[in-house]
Amino acid sequence: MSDLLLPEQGARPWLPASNVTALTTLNQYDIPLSGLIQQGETVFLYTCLLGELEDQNVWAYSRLSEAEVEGLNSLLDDELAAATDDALADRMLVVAVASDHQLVAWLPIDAGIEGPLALAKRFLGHMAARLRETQRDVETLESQPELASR
Amino acid sequence: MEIRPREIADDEYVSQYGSQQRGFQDRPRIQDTDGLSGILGELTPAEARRRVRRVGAPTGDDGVRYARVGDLRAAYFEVRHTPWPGNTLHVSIRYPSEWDDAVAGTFNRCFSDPVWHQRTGGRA
Repeated sequence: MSDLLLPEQGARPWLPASNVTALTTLNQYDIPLSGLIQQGETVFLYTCLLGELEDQNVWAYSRLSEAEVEGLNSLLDDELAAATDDALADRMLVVAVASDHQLVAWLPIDAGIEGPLALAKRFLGHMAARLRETQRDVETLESQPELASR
Repeated sequence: MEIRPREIADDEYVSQYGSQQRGFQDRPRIQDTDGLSGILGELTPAEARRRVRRVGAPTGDDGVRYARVGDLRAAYFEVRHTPWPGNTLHVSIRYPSEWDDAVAGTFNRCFSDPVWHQRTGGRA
């Protein structure tokens, strides 16, 4: 099993694939904002990094050890927020952008100890660069003589 | 961790967190959620923000508005303490039938004018 969550296009950010089971909600405000989910044998943390009230938001998915699962299941409020930050550090994550509560695109991100804000910023930078590259590729294809002649 | 919900009295207040840019939610955000969230008590914008947003410091964009629980219940909204580990003061506000434009208007009328975060002085 991969260390990384395998999301599906259009899935809810808090239930990011059809083979994911919801285990625990850790926080919710109008929509689920963080919690534990399982894909195969692996337990992941999901958490909204940015855009909690907005229609567009950034989400992170982190594989958890058994000890981390136990820790996250036993803490409250500020202590839980601190443990959640720790669970996003020093590992490969999947970070995703969602629009209207549906996953749109995602990237693997090698997280250091930069914290969730810097992580979201770095992800958005990577995603913007990738989209620019895709746009250039599409424009190149659109200018192919085969299309111009029709 | 299971947290025991408690009864909420009619004379208690709930805070709703919102933003200048986005305003305040007055109906469920998506079809597969059945209500709105609030926070038990009269919190400042900064206190409310900390229970909702993971990153960043409070700014003038952060706001709260307050409703007396008895006023919400008199308008047929169900108000229950539904604590989450990340927000033990979480409150669920539901409506027993369709949450349409008229219900959204009634919901808005239950709340005070918004209070916005101020960097210095006033409610922070």
